[in-house]
Amino acid sequence: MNAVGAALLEARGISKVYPGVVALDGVDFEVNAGEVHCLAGENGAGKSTLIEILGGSYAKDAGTIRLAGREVEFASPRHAQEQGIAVLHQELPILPHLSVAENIFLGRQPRGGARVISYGEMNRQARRWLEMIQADVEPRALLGDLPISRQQLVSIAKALSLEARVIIFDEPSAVLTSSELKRLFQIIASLKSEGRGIVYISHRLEEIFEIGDRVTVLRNGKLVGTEPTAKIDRATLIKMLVGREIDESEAATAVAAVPAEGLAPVLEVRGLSRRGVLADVNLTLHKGEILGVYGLVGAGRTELARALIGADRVDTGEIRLEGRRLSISSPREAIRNGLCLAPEDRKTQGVFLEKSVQDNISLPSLKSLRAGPFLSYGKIARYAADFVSKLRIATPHLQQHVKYLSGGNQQKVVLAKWLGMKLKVFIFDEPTRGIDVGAKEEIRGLIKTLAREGKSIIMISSEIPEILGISDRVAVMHEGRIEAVLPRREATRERLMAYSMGAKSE
Amino acid sequence: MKTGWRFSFMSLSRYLALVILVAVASLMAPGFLSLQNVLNLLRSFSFLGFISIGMTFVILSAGIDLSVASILAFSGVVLGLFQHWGIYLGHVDQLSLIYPTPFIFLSVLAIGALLGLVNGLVITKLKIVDFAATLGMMVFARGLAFAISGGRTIFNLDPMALFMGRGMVGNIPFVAILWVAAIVICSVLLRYTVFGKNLYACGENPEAARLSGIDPVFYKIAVYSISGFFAALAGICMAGRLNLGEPRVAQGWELDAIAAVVIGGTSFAGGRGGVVQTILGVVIIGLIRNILSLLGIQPDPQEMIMGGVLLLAVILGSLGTRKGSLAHA
Repeated sequence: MNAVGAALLEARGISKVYPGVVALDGVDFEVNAGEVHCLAGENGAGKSTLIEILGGSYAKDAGTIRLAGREVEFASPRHAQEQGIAVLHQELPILPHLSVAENIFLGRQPRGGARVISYGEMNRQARRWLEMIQADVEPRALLGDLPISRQQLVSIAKALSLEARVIIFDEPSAVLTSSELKRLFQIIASLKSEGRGIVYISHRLEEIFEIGDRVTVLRNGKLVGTEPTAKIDRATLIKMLVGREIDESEAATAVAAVPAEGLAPVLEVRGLSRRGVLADVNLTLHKGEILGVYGLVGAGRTELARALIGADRVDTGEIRLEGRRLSISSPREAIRNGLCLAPEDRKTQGVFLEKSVQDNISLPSLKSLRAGPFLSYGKIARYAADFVSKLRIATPHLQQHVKYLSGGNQQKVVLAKWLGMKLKVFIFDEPTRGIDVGAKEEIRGLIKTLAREGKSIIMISSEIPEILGISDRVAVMHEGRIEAVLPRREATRERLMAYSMGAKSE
Repeated sequence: MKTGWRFSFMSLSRYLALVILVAVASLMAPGFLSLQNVLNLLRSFSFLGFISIGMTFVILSAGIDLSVASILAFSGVVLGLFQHWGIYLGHVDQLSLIYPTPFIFLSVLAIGALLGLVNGLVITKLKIVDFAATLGMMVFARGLAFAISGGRTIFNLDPMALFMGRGMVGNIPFVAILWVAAIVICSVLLRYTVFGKNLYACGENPEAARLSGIDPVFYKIAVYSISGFFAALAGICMAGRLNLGEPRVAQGWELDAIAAVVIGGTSFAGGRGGVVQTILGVVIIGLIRNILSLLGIQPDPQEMIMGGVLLLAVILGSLGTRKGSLAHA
């Protein structure tokens, strides 16, 4: 162990502002040689922004970065790499059709005579780096043929070959199985003992305590604190992650919810599973109920929504609608049975940007807007105009292309599309993401109205206040599983956070 | 708005090109604008016109069909063989209908649609990209045309088949009437039916369409079947015009059809355009060919210039849209 305790990478007062959002606000962060420093925080806390800045992908707006005491400015990821900082992203940037060795030495292949790439030398060197982390990977194998855990080992070998002094792991556990993770932890421990600095991003409490020497918590772009893991317990960490004072104001505004248990179940989901994505999901949705679904990014919320409407296949499981067993293999059948989805990625999956407001709203209902065998544009226009005024969609005219509408109005168009179809279950995936505050309130109002009219709603959101403000019950997902279903009065910010991080009990 | 400006520039440049081409042709050949010549031109455009209608459907769905010219040639050969069934018995020039001509027409159209259906199935079920699947069909159908005809030209069709390519209704060529009728029917199909609206939706964004309850696979298969159908119709009319079934006809026409559709204003990115616009593209391509012939340039070197025209059309067509390149076709 050399130079344990010396600050290897030191960031002071880092700020990053996007239009309308302060992503990072004067954050301090440091990694010592021979240390594993965990970085934690809920979705949107600023973890990703911070590591992108440390890795040279984003430019900071304020603050200084020192590497081994010397101030540095990173112009590009490549520049940061040359200085000894390697970021291992969750989505590894790999070239699947090249070999393991070629990926490791991309752009800096060992040359032989006449400046021709020496494959023998390249494979030999690659094998050496791979052996250093005891990775059982053949340098000549195509990277795309390897499972993701092996690809990650290759990335680590690449970082070592670049002589990285600081290695940043961006939520590696999200894509690894538990035994693969155990291997990774052994490797991290040995990297640490060589005096490298490790940054490990995770929102899983157990991991933080298992591998971290210190943990830094970010919330809303601000530094909450940095603590040695040996000196704090889970409850303290959860408190840091959640922030107690917000929790109590949240609880104060809570309105008594309708007890859902007495109402008739509309949708029943039993044992819904898909390998690596959904694990034995059970849900019951009642008439007129809003079921909030909370979870961190990658918990399987969107996958659940897509599985329910048949957009993705499932391995096993049963879906019943009003007691009748459904076999849904496509969104088309789901809609016919009365289920619809307002997808998370509104612009690419929810609306047709190049089509008019009228065309978007009428698309699924065209069959009923005919006169004889032909479409009646008069009926279509009246149908669309009706929803434009009902939902107060701000558009100059019905022929306006949807791409010129604001996010909130685009979301209303998605909603309008389904309203005329006599559906029973509406699934909203992040319906208010990326739209302005006033419009968010309007969309939530529309969802509540739907529920009051007897429709059943599943509403996925990453915003706890939104979930708490609208749901009758809240389901919390973690690693593809429903970790808990809480009635409205028992759901608190703290409990949602704890369950979403895999803490069974507080 | 920038895109609006570009769009109007694009539509304007088409009409400008048309005016210039007509002016050049009139200067070179006095009497170019006489009614008789215009009607003759209309007939000569119709054959390309049919396959361009089918190609419009395919490109609207963000696909591309390279097999149309081969299916055209194959259909002409099948028509010839069905009218000269005796060819296999040694009676070469004698008409020997396998069954009445109207049923032969229907069979040929069905076979064309079937080959298109195979294109659609290969693309959707085997997940082969449109370009590769239809390239395979292009080579296959042309080869099949040679195989079943033994490489021979089959001469002398019956009067009903001749009427398809040469017939006149008063002063107007029958094939031109057929083409215009096909355009009217198809534009109604695209604009006034659920099928048409859903097709545009699938072309612009198949995933959004799927989540809206539309099955993009069905529409993909449908457009290729339609394209195969129109290629067969063109094949029948062409055989009638030439009075022979010939496996070598229409070489390279798939590119003329693609150029016509794109010049007309249907976007490679899918979901935007229509068959009415394609008329303009067919006329422009036809006029360019016509003028090149008037200049005494042989058909083979003409390809050099047509290649340039196609490239220009694609470049101009992709100005208005970020996705509008062959890479996304």
